[in-house]
Amino acid sequence: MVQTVRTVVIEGEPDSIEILQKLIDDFKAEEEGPPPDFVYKYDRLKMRAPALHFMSMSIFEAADYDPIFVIETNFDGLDGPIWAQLEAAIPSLRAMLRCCKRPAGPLGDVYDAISYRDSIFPLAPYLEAHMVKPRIFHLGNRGLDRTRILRESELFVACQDELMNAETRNPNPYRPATASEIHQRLRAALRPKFSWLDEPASPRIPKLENLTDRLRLIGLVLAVLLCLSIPGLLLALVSHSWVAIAISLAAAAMAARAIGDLGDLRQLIPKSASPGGKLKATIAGICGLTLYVLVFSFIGAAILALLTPVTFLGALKANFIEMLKAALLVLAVGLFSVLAILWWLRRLERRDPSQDEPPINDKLMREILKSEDHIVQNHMGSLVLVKPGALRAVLIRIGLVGLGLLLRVTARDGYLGDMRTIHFAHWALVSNESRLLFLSNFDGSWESYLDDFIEKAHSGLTLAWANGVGFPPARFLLLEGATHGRLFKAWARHSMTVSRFWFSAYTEYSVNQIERNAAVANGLRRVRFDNAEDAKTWARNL
Amino acid sequence: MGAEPVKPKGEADAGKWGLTRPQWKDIQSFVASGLSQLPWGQALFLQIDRPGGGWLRSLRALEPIKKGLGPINNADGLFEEAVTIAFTWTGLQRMGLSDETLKTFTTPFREGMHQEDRRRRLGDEATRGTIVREGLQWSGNVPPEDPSITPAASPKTVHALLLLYDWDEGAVERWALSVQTHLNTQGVTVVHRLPLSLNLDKLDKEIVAHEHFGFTDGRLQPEPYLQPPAGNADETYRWRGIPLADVLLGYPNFHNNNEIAPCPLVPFSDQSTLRADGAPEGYLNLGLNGSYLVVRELRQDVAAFWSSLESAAATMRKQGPHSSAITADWLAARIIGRQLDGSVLCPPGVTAPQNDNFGYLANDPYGFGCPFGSHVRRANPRDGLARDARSGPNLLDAANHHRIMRRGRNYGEKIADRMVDDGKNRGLLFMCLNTDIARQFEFVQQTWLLNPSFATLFNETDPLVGPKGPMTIPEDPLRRVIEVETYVKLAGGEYFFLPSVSALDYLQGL
Amino acid sequence: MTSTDVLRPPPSDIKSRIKAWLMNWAMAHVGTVFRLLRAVWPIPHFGKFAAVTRYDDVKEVFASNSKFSVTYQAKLEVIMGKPQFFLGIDDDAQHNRATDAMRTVVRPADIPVRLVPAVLAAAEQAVAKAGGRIEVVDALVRQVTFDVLCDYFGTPDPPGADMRVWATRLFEFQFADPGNDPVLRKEVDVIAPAMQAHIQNLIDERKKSRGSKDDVLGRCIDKQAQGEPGFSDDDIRSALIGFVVGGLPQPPMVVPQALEQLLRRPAILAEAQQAAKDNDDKLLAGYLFEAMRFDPLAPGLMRIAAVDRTIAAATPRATKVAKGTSVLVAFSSAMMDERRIPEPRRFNPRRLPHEYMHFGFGMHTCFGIHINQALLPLMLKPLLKKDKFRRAPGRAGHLTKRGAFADTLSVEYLP
Repeated sequence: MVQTVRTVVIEGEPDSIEILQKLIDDFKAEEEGPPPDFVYKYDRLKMRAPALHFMSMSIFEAADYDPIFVIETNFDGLDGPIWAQLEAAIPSLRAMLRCCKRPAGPLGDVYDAISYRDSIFPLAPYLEAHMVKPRIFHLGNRGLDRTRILRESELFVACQDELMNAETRNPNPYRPATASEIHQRLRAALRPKFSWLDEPASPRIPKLENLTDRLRLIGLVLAVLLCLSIPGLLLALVSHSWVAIAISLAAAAMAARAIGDLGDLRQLIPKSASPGGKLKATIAGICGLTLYVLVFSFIGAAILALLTPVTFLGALKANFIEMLKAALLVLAVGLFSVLAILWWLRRLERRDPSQDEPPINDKLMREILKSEDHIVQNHMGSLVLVKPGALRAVLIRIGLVGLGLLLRVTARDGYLGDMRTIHFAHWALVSNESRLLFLSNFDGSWESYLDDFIEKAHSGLTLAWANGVGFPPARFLLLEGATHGRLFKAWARHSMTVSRFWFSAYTEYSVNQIERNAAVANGLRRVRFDNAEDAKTWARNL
Repeated sequence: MGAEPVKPKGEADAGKWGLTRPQWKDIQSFVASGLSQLPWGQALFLQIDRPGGGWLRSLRALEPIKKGLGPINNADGLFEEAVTIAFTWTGLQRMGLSDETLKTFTTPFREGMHQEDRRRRLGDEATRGTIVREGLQWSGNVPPEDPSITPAASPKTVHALLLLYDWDEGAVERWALSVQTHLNTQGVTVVHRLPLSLNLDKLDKEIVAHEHFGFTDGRLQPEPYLQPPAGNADETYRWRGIPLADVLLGYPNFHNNNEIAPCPLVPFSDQSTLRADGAPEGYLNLGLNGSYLVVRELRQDVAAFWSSLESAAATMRKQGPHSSAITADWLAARIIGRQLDGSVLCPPGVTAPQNDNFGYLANDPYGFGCPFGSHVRRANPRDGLARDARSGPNLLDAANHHRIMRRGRNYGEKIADRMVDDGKNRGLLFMCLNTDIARQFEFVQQTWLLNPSFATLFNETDPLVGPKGPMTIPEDPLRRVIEVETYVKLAGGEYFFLPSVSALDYLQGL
Repeated sequence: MTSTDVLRPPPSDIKSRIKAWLMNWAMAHVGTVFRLLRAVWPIPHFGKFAAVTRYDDVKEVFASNSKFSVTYQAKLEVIMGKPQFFLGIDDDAQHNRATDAMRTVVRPADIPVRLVPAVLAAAEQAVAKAGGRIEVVDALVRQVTFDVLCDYFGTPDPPGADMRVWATRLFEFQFADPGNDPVLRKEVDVIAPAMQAHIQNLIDERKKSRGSKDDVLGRCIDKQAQGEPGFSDDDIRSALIGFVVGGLPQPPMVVPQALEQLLRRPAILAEAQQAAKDNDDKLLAGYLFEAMRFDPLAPGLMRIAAVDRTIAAATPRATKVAKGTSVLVAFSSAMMDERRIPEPRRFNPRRLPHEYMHFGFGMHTCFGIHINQALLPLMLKPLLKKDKFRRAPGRAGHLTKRGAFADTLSVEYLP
């Protein structure tokens, strides 16, 4: 089943923020109570919002903005039902919304309708009107819905109990058995209680979703290439001689030289890449370039034809060389465009102020630390200003969307780089896209999470966050940045607010453990293992 | 747990880690080595009753402290005693360090080991059963920054730790008593004293240290470097190399930015012997060549540990012929992650590496030799958290960003029969050096040792220092799980600042 | 005086029959129409008529009772005479005073101790009496409903007449006669005064024998004697007529309709039967109300815009309706709106309360919601417990409808 990430961002009424805080705190206290008629903490929310994986409510205060009230939801299925569920699950939600500003325009009327005393006017549309879609998000256990996660966890625990009970038996029937026999015995013991083992598991990433992700990524790449080709195409209108190609290449070389540290981009090649891998990558690069030249020589010719039919007819009569020349010109100018953009970017980066010692609100920090490290997972909410300028505006959008699509296509097993500790994380642009909001639900401590970013996934993280004001100095949007570990941590801490209310539907399970539960369940769904090696591999998860 | 392996006396320490001889002159000997030449010691926990640094000046003038406190003095190739001193935040405050300077110390040091959130992260909550029955005995009793929070006070307040090392057990005790008498005249009380030892034993021609459970100790230490060694040729650096900045304050940190982490600072003065290195304009670097010392007094219940393992092994043997080889030693080795003699646990058919330069990924990816959850593998996972060979080097690098330099010693006498409780107090005075407490010691404790989801494990923590719970021993085709009680408990602990020699000069002038 | 059949006979002339057939066909496919409307024209609006089809908008109109008033008052006056029944009141305070008063006599506490055992006993008796085959609409549900609740209200059959006929006819007039059928009106003009007289008669008699029986009527008389407001003879009479007319004809509609939905889904029916056998009443209720979602009481309810008003403001579908516009509030469509109901076409007996609007929403939420939620599933419980439960052979085994009403549905089982 598909998982969705949506966040509601509403401007708070500055004078009512303390009431809002109290309402959120009270709601938390109520849920931890647990509420009357419920046995376990957070059961009311868990039952009334059955699609919810993680949810948080926080208030971000800032010197130059009024406070904003942020409700983060990570849930199963498409968006829509979740808002009705939240309305039913959070009794004080209406009171919370009353602490927010009355919006301008027709939404103001809706605000009046939901906020008058004793109103029962539906809240879902109002929440939806303030909903923000993430620019990029990452799912740790993609395609596993909450019901499945919970019941596979239950199965795992039952497996552990069954095996634990057997340990005290004399002799232990599981001990001399082969992996296949262990599988048979466990399956026989657990099937009566877990009848769903006989149902096939639905595919985690449906074929259609898979295909759309790939197509969208290809589409984005093509669109970017097309944009980069425009100057070349325009130039090709005027001339497509060898001279023009040579001048463009020379200009590209000069731009590269002007950048100075272009060679450092080689750092992006993984250290561990084998010589064979490097060769493969080179061949793939050359093939890609050739394909690009061929495709764009065609597209270029077609566009030329549209704009200047006479030339096109001439070109048609002329030989392939003419077409190729035009294509090479497009490529050469494109190369120049890329390098010019990089030069411009590096120029911005060199002049970017980075904040080495961002001010930290001690009281807030105390609250943040107090709220951390109570369960296996932790939550982080951060809000930063977006760096100004046209190039930044473009790069942040393309960067986030591109990285997001790339993750959808490549990071399908929950690994982000070499880290697999994120359940749900996303970046969104808020406050009319002037600020970048980051919300994450991750395993382990905040320190270890940030260290993971610093050590295992810094390029991607830098790409996403380097457009934030004050981020540690980055190069080419990808290099350094987050590797300035101490600066990065200080910067990240200062951008955070306390997650006043935070809900996890499965507080005991890490991303890894959920995958392990799924592997155990998938094995037990099978009637038998035909291959002894497969059985062995499976049994290692027990 | 514990100290470095015994080295031949008089090993040349100049040039070590890439530091020059003059640099070493400014560094307390404790940083450079575990001082295993001096197997006996005394730990004096001091409470400073009178403000100022005068007591330190008079202490440093005292023979043989004068000789032993400071750098390793191996002009003659030998030295007969060594002294180390370190201070808690409350100690520095008591000595009269200004608030402005006190604020420049790192947050964990400023807040103390027993700040409530830190306690939760370090697993030091009494409810988890990891604290000795009578409760925490000593700490720095650092007051919370927010006056509205009630401090978690321990009965004894420690302001400084004075370590005296010698080659003779009796001599060091006499020395300690004389120092104690002297300190009393200076308005300093010894609130707690622990006799320290290395439990040396001769094993295969080599003299090795043991901790109280009987395991050889002190084999696994990182190898600091000032300049990253060129190329990948050196195996030691590849597997164990860490930047010197992780051990000593005031040096460039890892990564490509050569940045120097902030150090405690004092206002500039012409008279001071302190240097400015890395300090902002108008300040001197109080931290240069110093370090932070984490101290935890961990009480070990040796007899209970071994008897519980004997009975667990007996129960497991009943499961059938496949389990007949299980003994208490076998289980203990899985809990620690090494054989009693210190050799590496390897899966069947794999030859144990002869030195410490190895990873888990190539030889033991499934933990069939050294279990994922064993103390040693948790405390330093090397490349064992990598998902595949490709990510191995990266994960090894990542793991090496969290190393600590261990300097611990046993306290209390060696047990005569490991199965018989003699009612005596013994354990490990865990000590380690690091410069970023949060990234190093606390990370190891929280993210590796006490992480219930460490590696691919579920709901289990370190079998040695964690609370009571299960521990998985991987095996094909089916893992074993044993329940382990807590036989190592915290009796006291605090974060200390271990100053350089010139910083000591500064402090005694307060 | 009027026909003695509970449901009016089907029309005899060809024109009316074609009309009825078309009506039936339309009703059977109204879900598809709504689905289409929800997607392309969620608030259809022409002239003095509008409809809301999406969950949010349905809730919005229901919630805005001061902006969209109920349309019941005129016909209520025909049925009850002048005094007001709360169903016709739009003012919150006035409405709530009336319902609060009635809640002191129709008490939630009665449900577990009195109504639940009575319904179970009556249903069991009906099933046992029928042998191996029963007609669900009349012989089971209507029988049980009227027997148990008339006893509870203290409103027995009038002498020589059948309460089921009177109530159903008046119900049809009030709620299911948008075309104002003159034939029906003629009947109503006879039944309504008779009903009023009958209830007044009951009130008068009970005043003479106060305390003889603990039922709603008896409690009302007591309250009147204690001088509590809201319990004049007029109030009591209107309320009792309201309960009997407004409430009792509904279970014989929705319960057989729900059973028909279950019968169409054999696997789910088996699960529901298992829930009945396990005495898991909560889950059984889940099956029943989920089944009802696929064929609810009606496509929607009517409201009249009391002022000029924009529905779904600040959305692309925002629609301004003028004062006096009739608005069909399609709660059946709301319960199928995938924008708020997860996987609406999936049969899921464990849905959340907010996903249902069987009893309306807001001020005019069904007064008997708690009674219905508890009792409706129990009416089927004894039947579902039976082994070899199945449709009767032939057409009788499929639910037929007559106008808005369920007509017949026969099932067989091992007695």
